[in-house]
Amino acid sequence: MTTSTSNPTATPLDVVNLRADFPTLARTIHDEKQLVYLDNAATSQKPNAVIDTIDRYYREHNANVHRGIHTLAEEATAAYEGARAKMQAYLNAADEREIVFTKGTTDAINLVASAWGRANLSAGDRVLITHLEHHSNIVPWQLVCEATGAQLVVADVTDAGEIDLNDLRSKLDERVKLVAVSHISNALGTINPVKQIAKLAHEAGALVLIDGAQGAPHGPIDVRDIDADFYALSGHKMYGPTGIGVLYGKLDLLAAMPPYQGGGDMIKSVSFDGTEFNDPPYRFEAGTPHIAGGAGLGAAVDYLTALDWPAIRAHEDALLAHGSSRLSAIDGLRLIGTASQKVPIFSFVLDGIAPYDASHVLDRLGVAVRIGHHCTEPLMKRFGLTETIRASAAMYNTVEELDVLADVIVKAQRMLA
Amino acid sequence: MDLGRKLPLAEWFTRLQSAADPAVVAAHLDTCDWATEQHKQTLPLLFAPDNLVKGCQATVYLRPRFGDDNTVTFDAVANAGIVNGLIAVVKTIFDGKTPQAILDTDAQSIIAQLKLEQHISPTRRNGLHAMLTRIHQIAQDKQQTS
Repeated sequence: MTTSTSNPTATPLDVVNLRADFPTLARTIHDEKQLVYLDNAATSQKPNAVIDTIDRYYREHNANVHRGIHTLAEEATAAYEGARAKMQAYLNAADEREIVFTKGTTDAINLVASAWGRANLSAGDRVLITHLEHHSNIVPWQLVCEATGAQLVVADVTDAGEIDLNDLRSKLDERVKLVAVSHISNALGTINPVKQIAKLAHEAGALVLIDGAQGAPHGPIDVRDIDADFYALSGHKMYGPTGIGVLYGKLDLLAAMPPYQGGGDMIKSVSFDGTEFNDPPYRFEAGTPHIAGGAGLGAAVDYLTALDWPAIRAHEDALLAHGSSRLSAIDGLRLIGTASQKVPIFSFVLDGIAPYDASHVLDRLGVAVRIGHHCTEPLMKRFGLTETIRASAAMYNTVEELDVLADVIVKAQRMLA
Repeated sequence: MDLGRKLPLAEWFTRLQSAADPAVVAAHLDTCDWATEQHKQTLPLLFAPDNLVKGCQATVYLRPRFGDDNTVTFDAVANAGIVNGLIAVVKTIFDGKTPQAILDTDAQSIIAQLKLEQHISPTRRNGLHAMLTRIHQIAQDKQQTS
């Protein structure tokens, strides 16, 4: 299995040094077992830089943002708006106004489905998603299609866990107004050809929204190179805090969209005769925002931007290769999702052993994985399953940790078979 | 549905739980390599959508059987061995009790005495908390209809 496009001659990543930035990784659990954290697709651990920024914000700079004319309000605003500028750079967006802060990816997709969808979809129109999608990139579209009379269409996935592009092309006709697709599958690790899909969508006259929840942690994204119309991401999956995310949207699209929620900074003026709404991005940021979250997300972007990404990509590819090799050699373990382009996410089942029982044993032996449908019930059903065990590695994991994972799985099999 | 061979618990569960037809489940009981004779009597009626205990990481089915003396026996099964063990504990606590006695039972205290608290927090979502909630609701509903 080949991996993403990394440079094999890149300077090796100093993982030991990197791990020292993440205090949680040093934990021991259950009778002094060294924690092996392999649930990064659910949420990532946070570097000291992010933790310290949030701590310092609340100790020294806490105030509400935007309209206060006092020092603390200005400092809080600088932290929050500074993060917006940093996200613009991380995504290579053309304009800072194209960065809308949300609660996360789910909130961002719901924003587009509600604000763009209700204004632009009607009976006879279609929204095209894929079988790989997370529920957060399915249910908002189901809701808006039900409300508008539009139809939801689903492109197939292959047995390897890749989007069937021929099937996607066949379903991409003039009725499709928007294609919504994940950048990377949270359940299988498949890296989707989003640039190619965006091109196909645009050629058919459709917009494209990319669920970037799993994409953003793997390095700076170039939304203009992809030509995404919308790109949604979560702060907590890219080494930032929970409760904050970003919707990138092309400015002309955002400017044409009605508000999503009312109140707070999304207004210019309010009267009982009528309310004038603010311009993007504030039009879509009702209420007091997660200011500390913004500051923390900005710190996460600073941290990520300073990293050696060629080295990280090479390291993640090595994790993928090593993990795939060790796991596929285990009798009775079946890997689900064997795409040619993947990140180190390993979904698997064990013959005759319930994922619940296996994960319980793994936890007692220090290894943190996730079981269940991973918010992808249709995808699980496609593979004849209701759940898998998922180990998801990040840049701070090591091949030695994947060896621990493999060894503990074999131990669990002996205990539970 | 041709299962072809005897299957271990987790796999048999996955293949049969969507059947939702007692006759189909009954026809495949011999392929289940873990079920006791008691399980075989109760499984065909257990795999109904109404009996699914939602909010669990493991898949748990539970249904009450009421006796003429107003006592309750619970049939329950999960797709995970650890949770089937917890089911055995739950049945020990509640089987043979009347609905009022069930409502009067401090299950949390019993679980704590058995040092099974790690299985009872909602965040664990292993079925024990959901089972206890369902059993409590069954008892309450029976009280209200009696």
